[in-house]
Amino acid sequence: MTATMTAPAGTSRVPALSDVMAGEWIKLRSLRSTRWTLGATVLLVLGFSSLAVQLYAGRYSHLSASDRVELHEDPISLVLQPGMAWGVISVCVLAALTVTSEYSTGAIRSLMLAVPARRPVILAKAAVISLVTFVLGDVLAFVAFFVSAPVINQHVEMSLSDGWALRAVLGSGVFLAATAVLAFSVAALVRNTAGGITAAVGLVFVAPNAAGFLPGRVGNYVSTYLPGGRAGQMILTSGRDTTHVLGPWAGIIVAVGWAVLALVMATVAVRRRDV
Amino acid sequence: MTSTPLLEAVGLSKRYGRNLVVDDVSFTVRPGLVTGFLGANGAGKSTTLRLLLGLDAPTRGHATFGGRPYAALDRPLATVGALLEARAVHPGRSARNHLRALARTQRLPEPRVERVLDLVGLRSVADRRAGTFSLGMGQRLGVAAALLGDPRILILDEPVNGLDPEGILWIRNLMRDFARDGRSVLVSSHLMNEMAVTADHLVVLGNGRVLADCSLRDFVAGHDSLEAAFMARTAGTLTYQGGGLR
Repeated sequence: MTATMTAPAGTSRVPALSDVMAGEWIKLRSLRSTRWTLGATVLLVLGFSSLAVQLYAGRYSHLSASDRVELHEDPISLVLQPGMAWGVISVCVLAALTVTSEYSTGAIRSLMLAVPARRPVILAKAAVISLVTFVLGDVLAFVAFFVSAPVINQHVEMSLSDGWALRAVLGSGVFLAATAVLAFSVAALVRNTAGGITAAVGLVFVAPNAAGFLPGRVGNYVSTYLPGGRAGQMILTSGRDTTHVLGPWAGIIVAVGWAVLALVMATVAVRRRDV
Repeated sequence: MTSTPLLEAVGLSKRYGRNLVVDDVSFTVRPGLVTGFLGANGAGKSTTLRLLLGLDAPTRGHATFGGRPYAALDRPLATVGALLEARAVHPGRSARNHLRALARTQRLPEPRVERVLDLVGLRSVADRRAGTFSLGMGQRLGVAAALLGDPRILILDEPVNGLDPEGILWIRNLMRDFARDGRSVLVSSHLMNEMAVTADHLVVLGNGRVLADCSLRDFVAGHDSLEAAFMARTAGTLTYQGGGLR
């Protein structure tokens, strides 16, 4: 009846971060809401990607001269940006639910009894959700790319041997993961499901668009630099459009920076608060 | 064994705003005994248990398990098993997956999950979502989680709430067997009759303070029942705030 085991040599404390991550992986897989939100993300990303590609590249002869220039400069953003910009909604819901559903059901106390050091709780959840959304983002980007390439290639050269195309496709996972960690952290600060989802979707979907209406360059800057703003989406572009405030690399660094900052804030808050 | 108690609370206090909910609470839990944590609703029992387990931070004082605070325990579920509330489970997750995830954090082997499912009699419904469970089944799942790490101390907050007579008897025997095994049980309740047949030792709480810390026999001595003794000893500490019916 004894359940005592000797820990593998070299690891002093149980649970280690990897143990908590393994537990979180079991939990994430065992909920219907995970399947629903991941399924919704697949539909949103691939659906809006094909729609955009059909509406632009598929109607090439009807495009204005400026639209054609844009397509030649940056075909990859047409494939990735519309889909990912919508896909973040269900990604935010998934990321927020991994923490708020535990607070609303009391499951967080079961977890914190098993893992009383709270930093691993937050870091393991963030790690699992970011790995899942990173893989999902890259897989969806590859699928979207290969579905759209034949349509695009009738008018514009685009191949994964182009550095900018490969960067955008691989960067899609980083973009989704950074968005997920930001949403997760905001939700961990708020703790409440409705509030967490509203705050997260508000940051990554509503605020950048609203800020875009500010006049002139100001709107462009604000909607780019806001947490959850358009900076992260720059990785989904070819980087040849000089009207963007940030290039692909600078953009993704800003997005990851916001995610890390939010995660640090969430960790501090969760360590300080009673559960 | 006698030098470091399995559980020791030293001067625990918890203040919420202006309310001192737990006030300088000290006691120890010894092996081989069921220690009853007795008090009226609002006496501070649940808050004290949450302070012991590090879920709430004490305003003052500390609690240790074998000399170490809960947060410093290696594989905590192997030392302490706690049932604090019936619902500490995601309703969309099956009982088995709930326990598998907890077991994995402690590096407990998978068969241990099946073992505790058998112990609490939930094996046949283990793949049902926990949200479909009755109150009693939920309570059994909570006990399964508490037993998962084969702990040396069980901490149970009002475990018989919502249980049918059979379930009450089951919990009572579980606690007695656990203590007979040389391990410890700390069980909170406001149900006098239940305590009278379960506890060996009592820590009685009133208005957040320890009113008594003695054996059940000593506490009851001179009174007809535990209930009578409790009423006599806690007279004057039951202050209900608010104006009653309006």
